[in-house]
Amino acid sequence: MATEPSSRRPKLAAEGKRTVEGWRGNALAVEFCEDDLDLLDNVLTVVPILRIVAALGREARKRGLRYPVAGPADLVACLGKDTLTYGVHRITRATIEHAMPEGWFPIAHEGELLSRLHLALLRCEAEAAQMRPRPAIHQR
Amino acid sequence: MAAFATLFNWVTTPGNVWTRIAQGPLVTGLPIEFLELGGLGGPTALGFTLDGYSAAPPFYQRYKVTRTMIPAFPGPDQGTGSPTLVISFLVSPWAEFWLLPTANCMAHIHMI
Repeated sequence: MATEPSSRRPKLAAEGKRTVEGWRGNALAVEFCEDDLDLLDNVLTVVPILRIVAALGREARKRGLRYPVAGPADLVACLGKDTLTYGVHRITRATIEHAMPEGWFPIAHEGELLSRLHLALLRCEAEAAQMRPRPAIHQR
Repeated sequence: MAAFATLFNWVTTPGNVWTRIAQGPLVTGLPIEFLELGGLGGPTALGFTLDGYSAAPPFYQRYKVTRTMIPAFPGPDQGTGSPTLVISFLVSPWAEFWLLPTANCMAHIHMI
């Protein structure tokens, strides 16, 4: 019997395994090597937001982000007082707290982090689009 | 047009492992999606938890089914004809669906 949908994610550590393999799901099994780096760089250009996801993932590695990430506060602590700017996106303490709801945590590994960052960036773009001034023909 | 590339995108889902079974934009005008599960080797009794993460409100939703019977996996190009769970996610630029079953099964999300 199904329960009512819940918007809160229980923080039970023992609730199933969270693995990178599970995150990959049925992703196409293709092995890449160092020689493919320029190809992967070009592929990231096909969908520009993925370049930002990659840049943020690299920044998280550089700053030594540890998993699991329990909540937005861990990401804020990793960022410190810095502001990161990638294209039209500005990442600050306030934008992390706004764009990444508690329900998206804990984050078990880097794959989950990349997925959540992708969602957060798209959320910000959608919200910015909603706030954009409408052409006069749409105003009443 | 459905948000996901194929009508039947079955994903092998091990028991007790969170598996990302679908991801993509939710562009359908009707915010209803169907979770189909198929038992490996025949009809199976299992429980499962389905988590949905979305770039649009409500951003996260969880559905939990403690125990149910699922039909046998019909093969990669077919559906079971009976959704295990009907869920509702609003239009979103991107959503991810994660499944945690209590036993091995095949899973896919079908959108109308």
